[in-house]
Amino acid sequence: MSAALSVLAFSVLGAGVSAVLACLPGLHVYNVMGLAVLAVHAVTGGAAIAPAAAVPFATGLIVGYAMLSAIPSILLAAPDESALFMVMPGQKYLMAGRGLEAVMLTGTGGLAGLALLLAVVGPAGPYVLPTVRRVAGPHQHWILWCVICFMLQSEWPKGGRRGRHGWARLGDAWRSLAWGLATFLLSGLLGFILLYRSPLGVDAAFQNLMPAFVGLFTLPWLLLNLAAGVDVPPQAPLTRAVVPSPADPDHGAWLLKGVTAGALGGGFAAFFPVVTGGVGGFLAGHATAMNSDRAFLVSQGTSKLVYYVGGFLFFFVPGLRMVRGGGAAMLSGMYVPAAEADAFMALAAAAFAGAVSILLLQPLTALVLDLIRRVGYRRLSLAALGLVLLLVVAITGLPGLLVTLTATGIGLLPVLCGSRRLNALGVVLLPLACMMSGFGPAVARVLGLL
Amino acid sequence: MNTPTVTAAHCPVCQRYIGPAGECPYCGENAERPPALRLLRIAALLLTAAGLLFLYLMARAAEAPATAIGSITPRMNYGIVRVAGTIVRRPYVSRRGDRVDYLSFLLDDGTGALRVQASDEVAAAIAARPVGPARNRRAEVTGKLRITGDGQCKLRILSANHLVCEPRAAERGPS
Repeated sequence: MSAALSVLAFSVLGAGVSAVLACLPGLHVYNVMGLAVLAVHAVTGGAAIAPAAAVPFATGLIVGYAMLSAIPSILLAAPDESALFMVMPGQKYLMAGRGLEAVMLTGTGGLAGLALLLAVVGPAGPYVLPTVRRVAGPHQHWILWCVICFMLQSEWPKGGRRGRHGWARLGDAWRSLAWGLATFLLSGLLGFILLYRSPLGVDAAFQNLMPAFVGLFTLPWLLLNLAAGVDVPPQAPLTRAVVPSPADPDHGAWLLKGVTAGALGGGFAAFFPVVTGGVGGFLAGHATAMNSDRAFLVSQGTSKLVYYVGGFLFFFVPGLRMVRGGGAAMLSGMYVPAAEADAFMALAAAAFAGAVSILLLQPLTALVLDLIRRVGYRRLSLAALGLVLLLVVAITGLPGLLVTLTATGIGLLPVLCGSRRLNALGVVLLPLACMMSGFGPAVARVLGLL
Repeated sequence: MNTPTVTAAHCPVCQRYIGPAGECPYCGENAERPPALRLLRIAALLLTAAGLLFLYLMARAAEAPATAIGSITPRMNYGIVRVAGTIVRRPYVSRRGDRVDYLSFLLDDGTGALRVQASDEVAAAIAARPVGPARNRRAEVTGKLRITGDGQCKLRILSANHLVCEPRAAERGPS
């Protein structure tokens, strides 16, 4: 097979695998990549991998996931009715029968993000990004602390009106804030344990944080789906344009705002170490939430794609070779990119996979809606729960399951106590911010972990 | 959008939206949450407390696994391991002013060789020891593995206590 055909075939295959993942809630692309790494090691016995197969396949997986994961996020994370006005616009659209529109708006944002990466970051990256890294490098630790402060401070008190006296009201107001802080600190403690004395077997070290992320973010979502007994209302076909039309009163400014905010949030998350896509989406959301739900959904699609795909592509940029995100971290242990050729190969694979993914978005959304109608929301969540736990045990063994269960407890706290799930990112933010500031080992020593 | 009907998210008495609150902030009426969610909250607290406690005790008690250098695979990337062998070359030491800020040496255990490195205060503490790393000394070291795609493998020492060097026979003096 010629190299060009191989790139085309493997990138489409990667996007196809992501399309299957999009039919089930809770399956993350990095978990599947971890499984693929194990399979490759079992087959090759640790021998070198063929870049013309591995690079486009991994790129296809990540682009497909970044684009198509909007489907399970919006259609399969229907909130309990009690959270209707507190949830993201995606779920609000779903509960109003406009799930398809929400998915397509997010996909539009993703497509714009991919176009930006291919047109701007691809050609300009080798000249601009190494300089940006040199300039920003010494400042990363305090920038990270600023992100943490903003994340914690931007949570607002949800109570404060109960009780007759000031203290009672203060206590009521602080309740959700305190749960948010507790979630951040508890997940931070879990992060310290995993980074300094992981209970996982050393053979599973390359997926050290995977069981924690599954527990903190995936399982609470699935458990709530099971416990809340939510029904998805009938969904309407797409009747409204998801791109600006001449009749648009603001001439498509919502799309521009969404894409700009998403690109900045996702780009920041992709470039800075430890800052994840959730933080990128959070920053983009803060920039657009006051504008409109449409701008918000577009920003989330752009942010997610720029974070996942941009972070992965940075690994290939000549002169940068930066490892950001789980996908690049896994690949970096198996392969070193060759000069410019591999960068262009990855860009080509991203373009192919993006084209396939955007074409699959609408039919796949219809398929998942049909699946929900036939199988039922709870059964789908239950199947995903079983599959995710199986994956955790297969990759990290029983110690990984213990980590997942503990993390699930922490991940449920913000959901059930009215604070933000994002606080659970303390699992990486807290230990790595301490490490980057130079006092991580001192904290670990105080905790008795070093 | 459809207008939501009065649901569990609304106060049963004044029918105002109260979200997940257990008591209406407007009229003070008790708005009970579904039992499954209350159970889930208790389970979450128990799981968190018990899980973190056990993981913490487990982590404190656990020793890094002794690993032969030849058996290191990319799956062990970022793993913490313990290796023992002989330092085969003179260690490289870098100083900033009077202070050692980086050192590295090559450790061979007969199954392979591994580059071991330490930086900042860890490197300074190791360099200040009377019996530090030197050529032909035996050493046992615990650290974090970093494996790159070109097959290069490095071990980073996280604490000066994680390196134990034995003096050479000639250095021990008469027994």
